[in-house]
Amino acid sequence: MEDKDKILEDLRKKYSDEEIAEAYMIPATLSPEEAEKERQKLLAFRFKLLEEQSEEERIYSDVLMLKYQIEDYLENGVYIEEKSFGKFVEAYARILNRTKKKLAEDLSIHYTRLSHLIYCRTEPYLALIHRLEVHSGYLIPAICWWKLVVKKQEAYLLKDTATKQEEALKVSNAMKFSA
Amino acid sequence: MKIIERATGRTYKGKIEKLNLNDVKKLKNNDQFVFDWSKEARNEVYKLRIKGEDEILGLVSIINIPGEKRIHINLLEASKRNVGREKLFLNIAGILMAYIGRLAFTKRYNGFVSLQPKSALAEVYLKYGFRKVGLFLAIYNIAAIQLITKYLEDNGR
Repeated sequence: MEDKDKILEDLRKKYSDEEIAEAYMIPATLSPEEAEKERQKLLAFRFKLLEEQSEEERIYSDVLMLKYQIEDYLENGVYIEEKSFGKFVEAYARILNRTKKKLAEDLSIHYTRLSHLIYCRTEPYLALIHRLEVHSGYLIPAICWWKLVVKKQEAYLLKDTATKQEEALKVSNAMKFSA
Repeated sequence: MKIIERATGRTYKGKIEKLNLNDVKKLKNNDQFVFDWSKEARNEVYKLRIKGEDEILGLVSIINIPGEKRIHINLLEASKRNVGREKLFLNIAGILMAYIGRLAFTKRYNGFVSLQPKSALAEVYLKYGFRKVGLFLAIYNIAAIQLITKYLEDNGR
């Protein structure tokens, strides 16, 4: 059985405690009774934190969560309709407990226009992207919102062969290369 | 996230991925690590590497505890080349801890991450923003955000 104490002892022969802690997190070895006692202390601390959480802290945390969800989705290559710009704006409104009407007011756009954006009937414009960044307290950068739009456009560009063919007819003197 | 080469200050784009069970089992007898990581198969294990390269620079094993809204770091290790004064890359442990903090935000835990290190080493983790809760250390909220900004967001480098 691996002896973490022995491993730590060996590491301490070569490295300082600071160097070890910069490269490892080696768990403590506690008896079951000690472990449970410590766990109960942590649990009490954790639940107290949760009880004392303000609405502002909750919103901040959830907006951050949304930001990370957007970033993870952008990192992933695949476009998903359910993760459109509009859906994330809708999720954002939900986190803030704002109606779409109130959010539209905050962003100085007409409610109908916001609704069209959420249901992907129109595309957002740059001014709105900037406003969203400011509205989120700069937690969700404009570039994140914008990349959602671009991701959709990329996906549509790739699959829209009909438009490609239609537009090809309008091109003259196209380059021809022999490979 | 940027991985910083100690000798030159050059930076490389990092990537963290979750290992599947078979990948974790294959870590047995991996001579780049002092711990037997195959023993962490029952936990979630993540690896850090440079994007485009295969070499594992660091590993972290976590336990997700949804009933307590926390993620517990069970074990963390930078590869042998990344330990000590002559380490190849500077910020391996910080990046891994920050990633777990970020994961804790995505799970709506307010970034709450705990660890229970050997007592001789506990003080050193305070510099990452952890605070003592009995023999545990915990990081959450603003401190977790600061850790994430410092190690994962490129303008926080």
